[in-house]
Amino acid sequence: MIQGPSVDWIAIAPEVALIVGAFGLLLLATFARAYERGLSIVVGLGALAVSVAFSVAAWGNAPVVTMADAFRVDDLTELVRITVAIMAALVILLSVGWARFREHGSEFTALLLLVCAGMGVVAGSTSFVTLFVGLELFSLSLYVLCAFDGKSRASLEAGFKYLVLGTIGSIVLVYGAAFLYGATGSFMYGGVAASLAEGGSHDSIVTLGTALVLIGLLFKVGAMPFHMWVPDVYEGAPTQVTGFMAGATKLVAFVALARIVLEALPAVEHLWSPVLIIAAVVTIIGGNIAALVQTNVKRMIAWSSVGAAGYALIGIIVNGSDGLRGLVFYLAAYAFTAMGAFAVIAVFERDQVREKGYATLDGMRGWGFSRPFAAMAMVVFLLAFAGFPPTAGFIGKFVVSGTAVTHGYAYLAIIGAIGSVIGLGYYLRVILSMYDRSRKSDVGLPASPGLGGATLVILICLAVVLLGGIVPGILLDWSGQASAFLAVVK
Amino acid sequence: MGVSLNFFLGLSAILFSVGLVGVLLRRSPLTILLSLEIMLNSVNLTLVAFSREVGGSDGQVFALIVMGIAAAEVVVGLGLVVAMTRREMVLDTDELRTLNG
Repeated sequence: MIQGPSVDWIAIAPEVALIVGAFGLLLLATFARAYERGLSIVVGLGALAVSVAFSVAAWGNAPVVTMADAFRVDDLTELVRITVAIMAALVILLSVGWARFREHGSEFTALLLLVCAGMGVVAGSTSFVTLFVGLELFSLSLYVLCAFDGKSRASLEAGFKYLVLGTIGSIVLVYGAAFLYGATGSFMYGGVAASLAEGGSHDSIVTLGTALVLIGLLFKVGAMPFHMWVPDVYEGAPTQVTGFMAGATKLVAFVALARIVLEALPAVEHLWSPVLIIAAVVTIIGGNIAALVQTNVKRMIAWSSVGAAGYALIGIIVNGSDGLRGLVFYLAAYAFTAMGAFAVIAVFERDQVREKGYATLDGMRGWGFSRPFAAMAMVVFLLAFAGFPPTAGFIGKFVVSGTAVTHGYAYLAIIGAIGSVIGLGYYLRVILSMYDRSRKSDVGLPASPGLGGATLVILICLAVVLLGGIVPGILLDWSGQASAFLAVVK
Repeated sequence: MGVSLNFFLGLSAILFSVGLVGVLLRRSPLTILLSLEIMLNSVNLTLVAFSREVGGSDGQVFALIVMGIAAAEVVVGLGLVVAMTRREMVLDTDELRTLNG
Protein backbone atom coordinates (compact mmCIF):
# COMPACT_ATOMS: atom_id res chain seq x y z
CA MET A 1 0.00 0.00 0.00
CA ILE A 2 1.53 3.29 -1.10
CA GLN A 3 0.85 6.17 1.26
CA GLY A 4 -0.20 9.37 -0.53
CA PRO A 5 1.25 12.67 0.61
CA SER A 6 -0.71 14.53 3.26
CA VAL A 7 -2.67 17.43 1.81
CA ASP A 8 -3.59 20.57 3.71
CA TRP A 9 -6.84 21.41 1.93
CA ILE A 10 -7.21 24.83 3.55
CA ALA A 11 -3.77 25.86 2.29
CA ILE A 12 -4.57 24.96 -1.32
CA ALA A 13 -8.21 26.09 -1.16
CA PRO A 14 -7.67 29.08 -3.51
CA GLU A 15 -6.50 26.77 -6.31
CA VAL A 16 -9.21 24.22 -5.57
CA ALA A 17 -11.88 26.94 -5.77
CA LEU A 18 -10.57 28.06 -9.15
CA ILE A 19 -10.39 24.55 -10.62
CA VAL A 20 -13.86 23.62 -9.31
CA GLY A 21 -15.15 26.91 -10.74
CA ALA A 22 -13.56 26.22 -14.14
CA PHE A 23 -14.98 22.74 -14.59
CA GLY A 24 -18.28 23.59 -12.93
CA LEU A 25 -18.71 26.45 -15.37
CA LEU A 26 -18.01 24.24 -18.40
CA LEU A 27 -20.55 21.72 -17.13
CA LEU A 28 -23.23 24.32 -16.36
CA ALA A 29 -22.76 26.07 -19.70
CA THR A 30 -23.37 22.80 -21.54
CA PHE A 31 -26.89 22.64 -20.09
CA ALA A 32 -27.69 26.35 -20.27
CA ARG A 33 -26.24 27.53 -23.56
CA ALA A 34 -28.64 30.46 -23.75
CA TYR A 35 -27.28 31.98 -20.55
CA GLU A 36 -23.62 31.33 -21.37
CA ARG A 37 -22.43 34.93 -21.09
CA GLY A 38 -24.16 35.74 -17.81
CA LEU A 39 -23.18 32.38 -16.35
CA SER A 40 -19.53 32.92 -17.30
CA ILE A 41 -19.42 36.32 -15.66
CA VAL A 42 -21.15 35.20 -12.46
CA VAL A 43 -19.29 31.90 -11.99
CA GLY A 44 -15.96 33.38 -13.13
CA LEU A 45 -16.07 36.36 -10.79
CA GLY A 46 -17.54 34.16 -8.04
CA ALA A 47 -14.72 31.61 -8.18
CA LEU A 48 -12.13 34.40 -8.22
CA ALA A 49 -13.82 36.07 -5.23
CA VAL A 50 -13.82 32.80 -3.24
CA SER A 51 -10.17 32.28 -4.11
CA VAL A 52 -9.24 35.80 -3.03
CA ALA A 53 -11.25 35.40 0.19
CA PHE A 54 -9.29 32.26 1.13
CA SER A 55 -6.00 34.02 0.33
CA VAL A 56 -6.89 37.14 2.32
CA ALA A 57 -7.98 35.03 5.29
CA ALA A 58 -4.59 33.29 5.31
CA TRP A 59 -2.62 36.56 4.91
CA GLY A 60 -0.11 37.01 7.70
CA ASN A 61 -0.35 33.42 8.93
CA ALA A 62 2.77 31.35 9.47
CA PRO A 63 3.93 29.59 6.27
CA VAL A 64 2.32 26.19 5.62
CA VAL A 65 4.24 23.49 3.77
CA THR A 66 2.12 20.78 2.20
CA MET A 67 1.98 18.27 -0.68
CA ALA A 68 5.04 16.28 0.44
CA ASP A 69 6.89 19.57 1.15
CA ALA A 70 6.68 20.55 -2.52
CA PHE A 71 4.27 23.48 -2.07
CA ARG A 72 4.65 26.33 0.39
CA VAL A 73 1.91 28.80 1.20
CA ASP A 74 3.43 31.97 2.62
CA ASP A 75 2.59 35.65 2.21
CA LEU A 76 4.44 35.81 -1.11
CA THR A 77 2.24 33.02 -2.48
CA GLU A 78 -0.84 34.83 -1.15
CA LEU A 79 0.20 38.16 -2.68
CA VAL A 80 0.70 36.53 -6.10
CA ARG A 81 -2.61 34.66 -5.83
CA ILE A 82 -4.51 37.84 -4.94
CA THR A 83 -2.87 40.00 -7.63
CA VAL A 84 -3.39 37.37 -10.32
CA ALA A 85 -7.03 36.83 -9.34
CA ILE A 86 -7.73 40.59 -9.48
CA MET A 87 -6.06 40.73 -12.92
CA ALA A 88 -8.27 37.86 -14.11
CA ALA A 89 -11.39 39.60 -12.79
CA LEU A 90 -10.40 42.72 -14.75
CA VAL A 91 -9.97 40.57 -17.89
CA ILE A 92 -13.52 39.24 -17.46
CA LEU A 93 -14.86 42.80 -17.03
CA LEU A 94 -13.01 43.87 -20.19
CA SER A 95 -14.42 40.94 -22.17
CA VAL A 96 -18.09 41.56 -21.38
CA GLY A 97 -18.84 43.32 -24.64
CA TRP A 98 -16.66 41.12 -26.84
CA ALA A 99 -18.57 39.18 -29.53
CA ARG A 100 -16.31 36.16 -29.09
CA PHE A 101 -17.12 36.15 -25.35
CA ARG A 102 -20.84 35.98 -26.07
CA GLU A 103 -20.35 32.79 -28.11
CA HIS A 104 -17.58 31.08 -26.13
CA GLY A 105 -17.59 32.84 -22.77
CA SER A 106 -17.53 29.65 -20.71
CA GLU A 107 -14.42 28.29 -22.42
CA PHE A 108 -12.67 31.65 -22.14
CA THR A 109 -13.51 32.04 -18.45
CA ALA A 110 -12.67 28.42 -17.60
CA LEU A 111 -9.24 28.76 -19.23
CA LEU A 112 -8.67 32.01 -17.37
CA LEU A 113 -9.49 30.34 -14.03
CA LEU A 114 -7.08 27.49 -14.85
CA VAL A 115 -4.35 30.05 -15.65
CA CYS A 116 -4.85 31.57 -12.18
CA ALA A 117 -4.72 28.15 -10.51
CA GLY A 118 -1.48 27.32 -12.36
CA MET A 119 0.04 30.64 -11.36
CA GLY A 120 -0.79 30.01 -7.70
CA VAL A 121 0.96 26.63 -7.94
CA VAL A 122 4.06 28.22 -9.52
CA ALA A 123 4.21 30.98 -6.91
CA GLY A 124 4.21 28.49 -4.02
CA SER A 125 6.29 25.71 -5.51
CA THR A 126 9.38 24.63 -3.62
CA SER A 127 10.25 21.79 -5.95
CA PHE A 128 11.04 21.63 -9.65
CA VAL A 129 8.25 19.09 -10.11
CA THR A 130 5.47 21.34 -8.78
CA LEU A 131 7.06 24.26 -10.61
CA PHE A 132 6.89 22.42 -13.94
CA VAL A 133 3.33 21.21 -13.43
CA GLY A 134 2.11 24.71 -12.44
CA LEU A 135 4.08 26.34 -15.24
CA GLU A 136 2.55 24.08 -17.86
CA LEU A 137 -0.95 24.37 -16.38
CA PHE A 138 -0.92 28.14 -16.83
CA SER A 139 1.15 28.20 -20.03
CA LEU A 140 -1.00 25.69 -21.92
CA SER A 141 -4.15 27.60 -20.96
CA LEU A 142 -2.52 30.89 -21.97
CA TYR A 143 -1.54 29.54 -25.42
CA VAL A 144 -5.22 28.87 -26.09
CA LEU A 145 -6.29 32.27 -24.68
CA CYS A 146 -3.78 33.99 -27.02
CA ALA A 147 -5.27 32.19 -29.99
CA PHE A 148 -8.83 32.71 -28.74
CA ASP A 149 -9.80 35.33 -31.30
CA GLY A 150 -10.33 32.58 -33.89
CA LYS A 151 -11.42 35.04 -36.56
CA SER A 152 -8.09 36.83 -36.56
CA ARG A 153 -5.05 35.27 -38.22
CA ALA A 154 -2.74 37.33 -36.02
CA SER A 155 -4.29 35.79 -32.91
CA LEU A 156 -3.80 32.20 -34.14
CA GLU A 157 -0.28 33.02 -35.23
CA ALA A 158 0.46 34.53 -31.82
CA GLY A 159 -0.92 31.43 -30.08
CA PHE A 160 1.19 29.06 -32.16
CA LYS A 161 4.39 31.10 -31.81
CA TYR A 162 3.83 31.34 -28.05
CA LEU A 163 3.25 27.58 -27.88
CA VAL A 164 6.49 26.75 -29.70
CA LEU A 165 8.76 29.27 -27.95
CA GLY A 166 7.10 28.85 -24.54
CA THR A 167 7.51 25.09 -24.76
CA ILE A 168 11.19 25.44 -25.66
CA GLY A 169 11.59 27.57 -22.53
CA SER A 170 9.85 24.96 -20.35
CA ILE A 171 11.89 22.12 -21.86
CA VAL A 172 15.20 23.92 -21.30
CA LEU A 173 14.13 24.61 -17.69
CA VAL A 174 13.23 21.00 -16.96
CA TYR A 175 16.40 19.77 -18.75
CA GLY A 176 18.39 21.97 -16.37
CA ALA A 177 16.37 20.64 -13.42
CA ALA A 178 17.29 17.10 -14.55
CA PHE A 179 21.01 17.95 -14.42
CA LEU A 180 20.67 19.58 -10.99
CA TYR A 181 18.86 16.40 -9.87
CA GLY A 182 21.73 14.32 -11.22
CA ALA A 183 24.26 16.40 -9.30
CA THR A 184 22.35 16.73 -6.02
CA GLY A 185 19.85 13.85 -5.99
CA SER A 186 16.87 16.08 -5.23
CA PHE A 187 14.19 18.08 -7.01
CA MET A 188 13.38 20.08 -3.88
CA TYR A 189 14.85 23.60 -3.73
CA GLY A 190 15.94 22.98 -0.15
CA GLY A 191 17.55 19.64 -1.02
CA VAL A 192 19.42 21.13 -3.99
CA ALA A 193 20.66 24.03 -1.86
CA ALA A 194 21.84 21.77 0.97
CA SER A 195 23.71 19.48 -1.40
CA LEU A 196 25.32 22.37 -3.28
CA ALA A 197 26.40 24.00 0.01
CA GLU A 198 28.29 20.83 0.99
CA GLY A 199 30.12 21.00 -2.30
CA GLY A 200 30.62 17.97 -4.52
CA SER A 201 32.63 16.75 -7.45
CA HIS A 202 29.92 17.37 -10.04
CA ASP A 203 30.98 20.90 -10.91
CA SER A 204 30.43 20.66 -14.66
CA ILE A 205 26.97 19.11 -14.24
CA VAL A 206 25.97 21.80 -11.71
CA THR A 207 27.18 24.54 -14.05
CA LEU A 208 25.30 23.07 -17.00
CA GLY A 209 22.13 22.59 -14.93
CA THR A 210 22.27 26.12 -13.53
CA ALA A 211 22.82 27.60 -17.00
CA LEU A 212 19.88 25.69 -18.50
CA VAL A 213 17.55 26.59 -15.59
CA LEU A 214 18.49 30.27 -15.96
CA ILE A 215 17.91 30.23 -19.74
CA GLY A 216 14.51 28.60 -19.26
CA LEU A 217 13.50 31.20 -16.64
CA LEU A 218 14.78 34.15 -18.70
CA PHE A 219 12.58 32.81 -21.54
CA LYS A 220 9.59 32.88 -19.21
CA VAL A 221 10.20 36.40 -17.85
CA GLY A 222 10.81 37.66 -21.39
CA ALA A 223 14.30 39.06 -20.75
CA MET A 224 16.78 39.57 -23.56
CA PRO A 225 18.21 37.65 -25.37
CA PHE A 226 15.25 35.27 -24.94
CA HIS A 227 12.54 37.84 -25.54
CA MET A 228 11.73 37.14 -29.21
CA TRP A 229 8.25 35.78 -28.48
CA VAL A 230 7.12 38.83 -26.49
CA PRO A 231 6.37 41.42 -29.24
CA ASP A 232 4.64 38.96 -31.57
CA VAL A 233 2.52 37.37 -28.85
CA TYR A 234 1.57 40.68 -27.19
CA GLU A 235 0.54 42.18 -30.54
CA GLY A 236 -1.45 39.21 -31.82
CA ALA A 237 -3.25 38.12 -28.63
CA PRO A 238 -6.67 39.58 -27.74
CA THR A 239 -5.88 42.89 -26.01
CA GLN A 240 -7.30 41.99 -22.58
CA VAL A 241 -5.22 38.77 -22.61
CA THR A 242 -2.14 40.85 -23.48
CA GLY A 243 -2.81 43.05 -20.46
CA PHE A 244 -3.07 39.96 -18.27
CA MET A 245 0.17 38.48 -19.64
CA ALA A 246 2.11 41.72 -19.28
CA GLY A 247 1.21 41.95 -15.61
CA ALA A 248 0.40 38.56 -14.12
CA THR A 249 2.72 36.32 -16.14
CA LYS A 250 5.66 38.62 -15.51
CA LEU A 251 4.98 38.74 -11.75
CA VAL A 252 4.67 34.95 -11.49
CA ALA A 253 7.73 34.22 -13.63
CA PHE A 254 9.84 36.58 -11.52
CA VAL A 255 8.63 35.04 -8.26
CA ALA A 256 9.61 31.62 -9.65
CA LEU A 257 13.02 32.98 -10.71
CA ALA A 258 13.59 34.61 -7.30
CA ARG A 259 12.60 31.46 -5.40
CA ILE A 260 14.89 29.27 -7.50
CA VAL A 261 18.03 31.40 -7.43
CA LEU A 262 17.62 32.36 -3.76
CA GLU A 263 16.30 29.09 -2.31
CA ALA A 264 17.86 26.43 -4.56
CA LEU A 265 21.01 28.02 -5.95
CA PRO A 266 22.42 30.39 -3.27
CA ALA A 267 25.66 28.36 -3.17
CA VAL A 268 26.40 29.08 -6.83
CA GLU A 269 25.70 32.83 -6.75
CA HIS A 270 29.00 33.34 -8.63
CA LEU A 271 27.37 31.51 -11.59
CA TRP A 272 23.98 33.25 -11.80
CA SER A 273 24.78 36.74 -10.59
CA PRO A 274 26.93 37.79 -13.64
CA VAL A 275 24.43 36.20 -16.04
CA LEU A 276 21.53 38.16 -14.52
CA ILE A 277 23.56 41.41 -14.49
CA ILE A 278 24.36 41.09 -18.22
CA ALA A 279 20.76 40.12 -18.98
CA ALA A 280 19.48 43.14 -17.02
CA VAL A 281 21.74 45.62 -18.82
CA VAL A 282 21.02 44.21 -22.29
CA THR A 283 17.28 43.99 -21.54
CA ILE A 284 16.87 47.56 -20.24
CA ILE A 285 18.80 49.17 -23.10
CA GLY A 286 17.70 46.80 -25.89
CA GLY A 287 14.01 46.72 -24.96
CA ASN A 288 13.72 50.50 -24.75
CA ILE A 289 15.64 51.15 -27.98
CA ALA A 290 13.54 48.61 -29.90
CA ALA A 291 10.36 50.24 -28.54
CA LEU A 292 11.53 53.57 -29.92
CA VAL A 293 11.04 52.51 -33.55
CA GLN A 294 7.61 50.85 -33.20
CA THR A 295 4.53 52.37 -34.80
CA ASN A 296 2.01 49.90 -33.34
CA VAL A 297 1.22 50.93 -29.76
CA LYS A 298 0.56 47.35 -28.59
CA ARG A 299 3.95 46.30 -29.94
CA MET A 300 5.59 49.37 -28.42
CA ILE A 301 4.29 48.52 -24.94
CA ALA A 302 5.38 44.91 -25.52
CA TRP A 303 8.96 46.08 -26.09
CA SER A 304 8.74 48.41 -23.11
CA SER A 305 7.62 45.45 -21.00
CA VAL A 306 10.78 43.65 -22.14
CA GLY A 307 12.65 46.65 -20.73
CA ALA A 308 10.60 46.45 -17.52
CA ALA A 309 11.82 42.87 -17.02
CA GLY A 310 15.31 44.36 -16.84
CA TYR A 311 14.37 46.63 -13.91
CA ALA A 312 12.83 43.70 -12.08
CA LEU A 313 16.04 41.69 -12.61
CA ILE A 314 17.92 44.40 -10.70
CA GLY A 315 15.76 43.60 -7.66
CA ILE A 316 16.92 39.97 -7.74
CA ILE A 317 20.57 40.83 -8.39
CA VAL A 318 20.72 43.24 -5.44
CA ASN A 319 19.07 40.49 -3.44
CA GLY A 320 18.93 42.24 -0.07
CA SER A 321 15.56 42.53 1.66
CA ASP A 322 14.99 46.02 0.14
CA GLY A 323 15.78 44.73 -3.35
CA LEU A 324 13.18 42.00 -3.08
CA ARG A 325 10.61 44.38 -1.61
CA GLY A 326 11.26 46.67 -4.57
CA LEU A 327 10.92 43.74 -6.97
CA VAL A 328 7.53 42.69 -5.60
CA PHE A 329 6.21 46.26 -5.40
CA TYR A 330 7.47 47.16 -8.88
CA LEU A 331 5.91 44.08 -10.50
CA ALA A 332 2.58 44.40 -8.67
CA ALA A 333 2.35 48.09 -9.64
CA TYR A 334 3.44 47.21 -13.20
CA ALA A 335 0.62 44.66 -13.46
CA PHE A 336 -2.03 47.32 -12.81
CA THR A 337 -0.33 49.86 -15.07
CA ALA A 338 -0.12 47.40 -17.97
CA MET A 339 -3.70 46.20 -17.49
CA GLY A 340 -4.91 49.81 -17.50
CA ALA A 341 -2.92 50.73 -20.61
CA PHE A 342 -4.19 47.71 -22.53
CA ALA A 343 -7.75 48.44 -21.37
CA VAL A 344 -7.43 51.87 -23.00
CA ILE A 345 -6.09 50.24 -26.18
CA ALA A 346 -9.07 47.84 -26.08
CA VAL A 347 -11.41 50.86 -25.97
CA PHE A 348 -9.54 52.38 -28.92
CA GLU A 349 -9.73 49.15 -30.92
CA ARG A 350 -13.50 49.02 -30.41
CA ASP A 351 -13.74 52.56 -31.81
CA GLN A 352 -11.75 51.51 -34.87
CA VAL A 353 -13.57 48.35 -35.93
CA ARG A 354 -13.74 49.48 -39.54
CA GLU A 355 -10.01 50.15 -39.74
CA LYS A 356 -9.13 46.59 -38.69
CA GLY A 357 -8.72 47.75 -35.10
CA TYR A 358 -4.97 48.23 -35.17
CA ALA A 359 -3.73 50.66 -32.53
CA THR A 360 -1.10 52.44 -34.60
CA LEU A 361 0.40 55.79 -33.68
CA ASP A 362 -1.06 57.24 -36.84
CA GLY A 363 -4.52 55.82 -36.16
CA MET A 364 -4.53 57.32 -32.64
CA ARG A 365 -4.05 60.86 -33.97
CA GLY A 366 -6.63 63.17 -32.39
CA TRP A 367 -8.34 60.30 -30.57
CA GLY A 368 -7.73 61.97 -27.21
CA PHE A 369 -10.34 64.60 -28.00
CA SER A 370 -13.01 62.00 -28.76
CA ARG A 371 -12.52 59.94 -25.60
CA PRO A 372 -11.10 62.39 -23.06
CA PHE A 373 -11.31 60.09 -20.02
CA ALA A 374 -9.60 57.07 -21.61
CA ALA A 375 -6.91 59.25 -23.15
CA MET A 376 -6.19 61.04 -19.85
CA ALA A 377 -5.93 57.65 -18.14
CA MET A 378 -3.52 56.53 -20.87
CA VAL A 379 -1.32 59.54 -20.13
CA VAL A 380 -1.15 58.52 -16.46
CA PHE A 381 -0.34 54.88 -17.34
CA LEU A 382 2.38 55.91 -19.80
CA LEU A 383 3.94 58.22 -17.19
CA ALA A 384 3.79 55.33 -14.72
CA PHE A 385 5.62 53.10 -17.25
CA ALA A 386 8.24 55.84 -17.65
CA GLY A 387 8.56 56.17 -13.86
CA PHE A 388 7.18 59.66 -13.23
CA PRO A 389 5.74 60.85 -9.91
CA PRO A 390 3.05 60.73 -8.58
CA THR A 391 2.53 57.19 -9.91
CA ALA A 392 3.31 53.75 -8.50
CA GLY A 393 5.77 53.24 -11.37
CA PHE A 394 7.93 56.04 -9.94
CA ILE A 395 8.02 54.49 -6.46
CA GLY A 396 8.80 51.05 -7.94
CA LYS A 397 11.72 52.28 -10.03
CA PHE A 398 12.89 54.53 -7.19
CA VAL A 399 13.01 51.69 -4.64
CA VAL A 400 14.74 49.30 -7.08
CA SER A 401 17.33 51.87 -8.22
CA GLY A 402 17.88 53.17 -4.69
CA THR A 403 18.72 49.72 -3.34
CA ALA A 404 20.98 49.11 -6.34
CA VAL A 405 23.00 52.18 -5.34
CA THR A 406 23.22 51.33 -1.62
CA HIS A 407 24.33 47.76 -2.39
CA GLY A 408 27.14 48.79 -4.73
CA TYR A 409 25.42 48.33 -8.06
CA ALA A 410 25.27 52.04 -8.89
CA TYR A 411 26.02 51.34 -12.56
CA LEU A 412 22.79 49.32 -12.81
CA ALA A 413 20.83 52.30 -11.45
CA ILE A 414 22.52 54.54 -14.06
CA ILE A 415 21.65 52.08 -16.88
CA GLY A 416 18.08 52.03 -15.53
CA ALA A 417 17.91 55.83 -15.61
CA ILE A 418 19.21 55.88 -19.21
CA GLY A 419 16.55 53.33 -20.14
CA SER A 420 13.85 55.51 -18.54
CA VAL A 421 14.97 58.54 -20.53
CA ILE A 422 14.86 56.57 -23.78
CA GLY A 423 11.45 55.28 -22.69
CA LEU A 424 10.13 58.79 -22.23
CA GLY A 425 10.88 59.37 -25.93
CA TYR A 426 8.34 56.87 -27.21
CA TYR A 427 5.74 57.36 -24.47
CA LEU A 428 5.66 61.05 -25.43
CA ARG A 429 5.09 60.06 -29.08
CA VAL A 430 1.90 58.25 -28.06
CA ILE A 431 0.70 61.21 -25.97
CA LEU A 432 1.50 63.74 -28.74
CA SER A 433 -0.29 61.55 -31.26
CA MET A 434 -3.44 61.26 -29.10
CA TYR A 435 -3.61 65.04 -28.68
CA ASP A 436 -2.73 65.98 -32.27
CA ARG A 437 -4.88 69.05 -33.01
CA SER A 438 -4.62 68.64 -36.76
CA ARG A 439 -7.06 65.74 -36.63
CA LYS A 440 -9.25 66.98 -33.82
CA SER A 441 -12.87 65.97 -34.13
CA ASP A 442 -15.29 68.13 -32.16
CA VAL A 443 -17.88 65.40 -31.80
CA GLY A 444 -17.42 62.99 -28.92
CA LEU A 445 -17.78 59.34 -29.92
CA PRO A 446 -21.02 57.67 -28.86
CA ALA A 447 -20.62 55.16 -26.05
CA SER A 448 -20.32 51.75 -27.67
CA PRO A 449 -21.96 48.73 -26.05
CA GLY A 450 -19.91 46.93 -23.45
CA LEU A 451 -17.63 49.85 -22.70
CA GLY A 452 -18.98 50.06 -19.13
CA GLY A 453 -16.70 47.17 -18.17
CA ALA A 454 -13.68 48.85 -19.74
CA THR A 455 -14.37 52.13 -17.94
CA LEU A 456 -14.57 50.30 -14.61
CA VAL A 457 -11.27 48.50 -15.34
CA ILE A 458 -9.55 51.77 -16.25
CA LEU A 459 -10.88 53.40 -13.07
CA ILE A 460 -9.65 50.58 -10.83
CA CYS A 461 -6.19 50.55 -12.42
CA LEU A 462 -5.99 54.32 -12.28
CA ALA A 463 -6.85 54.27 -8.57
CA VAL A 464 -4.19 51.68 -7.75
CA VAL A 465 -1.50 53.38 -9.86
CA LEU A 466 -2.15 56.81 -8.32
CA LEU A 467 -2.65 55.60 -4.73
CA GLY A 468 0.52 53.52 -5.05
CA GLY A 469 2.34 56.68 -6.07
CA ILE A 470 0.84 59.12 -3.55
CA VAL A 471 0.52 56.93 -0.44
CA PRO A 472 2.89 54.03 -1.21
CA GLY A 473 3.45 53.15 2.46
CA ILE A 474 0.83 50.44 2.82
CA LEU A 475 1.60 48.79 -0.51
CA LEU A 476 5.31 48.87 0.30
CA ASP A 477 4.57 47.25 3.67
CA TRP A 478 2.62 44.45 2.00
CA SER A 479 5.41 43.92 -0.55
CA GLY A 480 7.99 43.88 2.23
CA GLN A 481 5.95 41.40 4.27
CA ALA A 482 5.58 39.10 1.24
CA SER A 483 9.18 39.30 0.07
CA ALA A 484 10.45 38.58 3.59
CA PHE A 485 9.72 34.93 2.86
CA LEU A 486 12.36 34.77 0.13
CA ALA A 487 15.57 33.49 1.61
CA VAL A 488 18.09 36.33 1.56
CA VAL A 489 21.64 35.33 0.78
CA LYS A 490 23.55 38.38 1.91
CA MET B 1 25.56 -1.55 -14.61
CA GLY B 2 26.13 -2.38 -18.26
CA VAL B 3 25.98 0.95 -20.03
CA SER B 4 27.62 3.99 -18.46
CA LEU B 5 25.80 7.18 -17.49
CA ASN B 6 27.77 9.25 -19.98
CA PHE B 7 26.38 7.21 -22.87
CA PHE B 8 22.81 8.15 -21.87
CA LEU B 9 23.71 11.79 -21.30
CA GLY B 10 25.45 11.92 -24.70
CA LEU B 11 22.47 10.34 -26.45
CA SER B 12 20.04 12.72 -24.74
CA ALA B 13 22.22 15.71 -25.70
CA ILE B 14 22.16 14.53 -29.33
CA LEU B 15 18.36 14.07 -29.22
CA PHE B 16 17.98 17.52 -27.63
CA SER B 17 20.09 19.11 -30.38
CA VAL B 18 18.21 17.27 -33.12
CA GLY B 19 14.92 18.53 -31.68
CA LEU B 20 16.17 22.10 -31.30
CA VAL B 21 17.56 22.20 -34.86
CA GLY B 22 14.25 20.75 -36.07
CA VAL B 23 12.24 23.48 -34.33
CA LEU B 24 14.48 26.21 -35.68
CA LEU B 25 14.87 24.99 -39.27
CA ARG B 26 11.79 23.01 -40.29
CA ARG B 27 8.84 24.92 -41.72
CA SER B 28 5.85 22.65 -41.19
CA PRO B 29 4.07 23.28 -37.87
CA LEU B 30 3.55 19.53 -37.56
CA THR B 31 7.28 18.80 -37.85
CA ILE B 32 7.93 21.56 -35.30
CA LEU B 33 5.56 19.87 -32.83
CA LEU B 34 7.32 16.57 -33.54
CA SER B 35 10.70 18.18 -32.83
CA LEU B 36 9.40 19.56 -29.52
CA GLU B 37 8.42 16.00 -28.57
CA ILE B 38 11.95 14.79 -29.39
CA MET B 39 13.34 17.47 -27.06
CA LEU B 40 10.94 16.43 -24.28
CA ASN B 41 11.97 12.80 -24.70
CA SER B 42 15.63 13.71 -24.42
CA VAL B 43 14.74 15.27 -21.05
CA ASN B 44 12.94 12.08 -20.05
CA LEU B 45 15.98 10.01 -20.96
CA THR B 46 18.19 12.27 -18.84
CA LEU B 47 15.78 12.03 -15.91
CA VAL B 48 15.62 8.24 -16.01
CA ALA B 49 19.38 7.89 -16.46
CA PHE B 50 20.09 10.13 -13.47
CA SER B 51 17.39 8.35 -11.50
CA ARG B 52 19.28 5.06 -11.93
CA GLU B 53 22.53 6.77 -10.94
CA VAL B 54 21.15 8.58 -7.88
CA GLY B 55 18.87 5.78 -6.73
CA GLY B 56 15.25 6.16 -5.66
CA SER B 57 12.35 6.74 -8.02
CA ASP B 58 12.02 10.56 -8.06
CA GLY B 59 13.46 10.93 -11.54
CA GLN B 60 11.24 8.22 -13.01
CA VAL B 61 8.13 9.74 -11.47
CA PHE B 62 9.05 13.15 -12.89
CA ALA B 63 9.61 11.52 -16.32
CA LEU B 64 6.06 10.13 -16.17
CA ILE B 65 4.70 13.58 -15.28
CA VAL B 66 6.67 15.10 -18.18
CA MET B 67 5.10 12.53 -20.52
CA GLY B 68 1.62 13.39 -19.35
CA ILE B 69 2.21 17.10 -19.83
CA ALA B 70 3.82 16.48 -23.24
CA ALA B 71 0.60 14.78 -24.33
CA ALA B 72 -1.43 17.82 -23.25
CA GLU B 73 1.03 20.05 -25.10
CA VAL B 74 0.50 18.14 -28.34
CA VAL B 75 -3.27 18.31 -27.97
CA VAL B 76 -3.13 22.10 -27.71
CA GLY B 77 -0.59 22.33 -30.54
CA LEU B 78 -2.58 20.16 -32.91
CA GLY B 79 -5.74 22.06 -31.99
CA LEU B 80 -4.05 25.28 -33.05
CA VAL B 81 -2.85 23.67 -36.30
CA VAL B 82 -6.41 22.54 -37.06
CA ALA B 83 -7.71 26.07 -36.36
CA MET B 84 -5.05 27.50 -38.65
CA THR B 85 -6.00 25.07 -41.42
CA ARG B 86 -9.65 26.06 -41.09
CA ARG B 87 -8.68 29.69 -41.53
CA GLU B 88 -6.91 28.50 -44.70
CA MET B 89 -3.57 29.64 -43.41
CA VAL B 90 -0.68 28.02 -45.28
CA LEU B 91 1.02 25.37 -43.17
CA ASP B 92 4.47 26.88 -43.61
CA THR B 93 6.00 28.88 -40.78
CA ASP B 94 7.83 31.09 -43.29
CA GLU B 95 4.37 32.36 -44.23
CA LEU B 96 3.46 33.23 -40.61
CA ARG B 97 4.52 36.82 -41.07
CA THR B 98 1.44 38.79 -40.08
CA LEU B 99 3.33 39.62 -36.89
CA ASN B 100 6.83 40.67 -37.71
CA GLY B 101 9.40 43.20 -36.67
